Amino acid sequence: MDKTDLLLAASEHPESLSPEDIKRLLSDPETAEIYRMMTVCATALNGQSQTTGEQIDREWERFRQTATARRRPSFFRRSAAATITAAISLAAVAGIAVITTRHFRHSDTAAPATEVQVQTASTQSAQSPVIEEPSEKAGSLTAENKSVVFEDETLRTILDRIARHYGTEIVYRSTETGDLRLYFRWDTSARLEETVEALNNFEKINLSLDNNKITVL
Amino acid sequence: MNDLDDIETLFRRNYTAMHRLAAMFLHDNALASDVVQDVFHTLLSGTPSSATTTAYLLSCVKNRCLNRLRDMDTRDRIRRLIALDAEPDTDDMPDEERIEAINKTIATDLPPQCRRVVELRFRDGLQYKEIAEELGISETAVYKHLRKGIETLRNKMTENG
Repeated sequence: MDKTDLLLAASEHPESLSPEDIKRLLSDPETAEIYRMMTVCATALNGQSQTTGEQIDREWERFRQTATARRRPSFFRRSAAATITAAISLAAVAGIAVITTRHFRHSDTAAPATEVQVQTASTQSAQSPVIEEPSEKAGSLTAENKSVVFEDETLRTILDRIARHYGTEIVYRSTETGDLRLYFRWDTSARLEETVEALNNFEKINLSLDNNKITVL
Repeated sequence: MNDLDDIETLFRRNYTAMHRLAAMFLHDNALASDVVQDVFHTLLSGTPSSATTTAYLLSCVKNRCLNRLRDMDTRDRIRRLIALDAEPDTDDMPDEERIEAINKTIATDLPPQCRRVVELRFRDGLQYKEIAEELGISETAVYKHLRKGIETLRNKMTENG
């Protein structure tokens, strides 16, 4: 594989590389130069993007709705609190689900000693969905559990990210639902079905998954 | 608090430029839209509209983009083709002249199919599989087009300095 090939593979499947691998790859001056050119091209091409009047209308409507929701502070605060509580318990459940599968997977092959280790680690991570200290940044990948935390992000943003990861299509039957803001912890190693199910646990969200296509109802 | 009508005027007048700048930083349309939304949300409780100029709004967009980039990890950055430096720098942003030159090279020096693949990957952030489906070609073909595109661009850009 030459340098361009390596970069193409790395940007298509960064999840298969550790941040150190990526740093090492780009420590080569020629590779860094090719990558730099790719980033500049991406910036230039994104600079071509034109917004249509229709898109502006839609975005304004989206803004207006959240803006008016925020003007009613008591209502907003209460519903936000409810969402966060739901999200935290969900995150805990998701954590446990992951642990169980991981545990099973390990128990097929690994020696009992490893199982115990896995178990201990899992107990910790099950408790870790932090309530007092939401220190993780929105949408950041944490090294240990490969989960992405979306903090006060719209469902649209979350679904876009998820769709890109699983290579699925999204269809919006309800545009309002896409604008819901939520706190969601996404386990990137979970299957698409599991992720959709986790999102469906939110009261106001109703997604259906059919033939690798997510429909927002 | 600002009047929603005033904000609407600002929003409609400046949306395109703000979104474009955010997309250039983040290489992601959806994220760029969110950044613009965030900027207007801060206006709701902040500065009076009369003092809000396009330059001010664009600098808000820039700051928010830099914050977002700071929070992105290495994998996210390489997936979106964003410079990997820990502290993103605005000097990295190519000037308008350079941008125009690059887009012209892409438009004129790449064969049509190759150009479409480069656009779908570099501009729209699609994965090989999605590009293959969109254009009805194989993933290997997508990969070959990208490779060729990068090589051509690299040669052209070294030629032109």
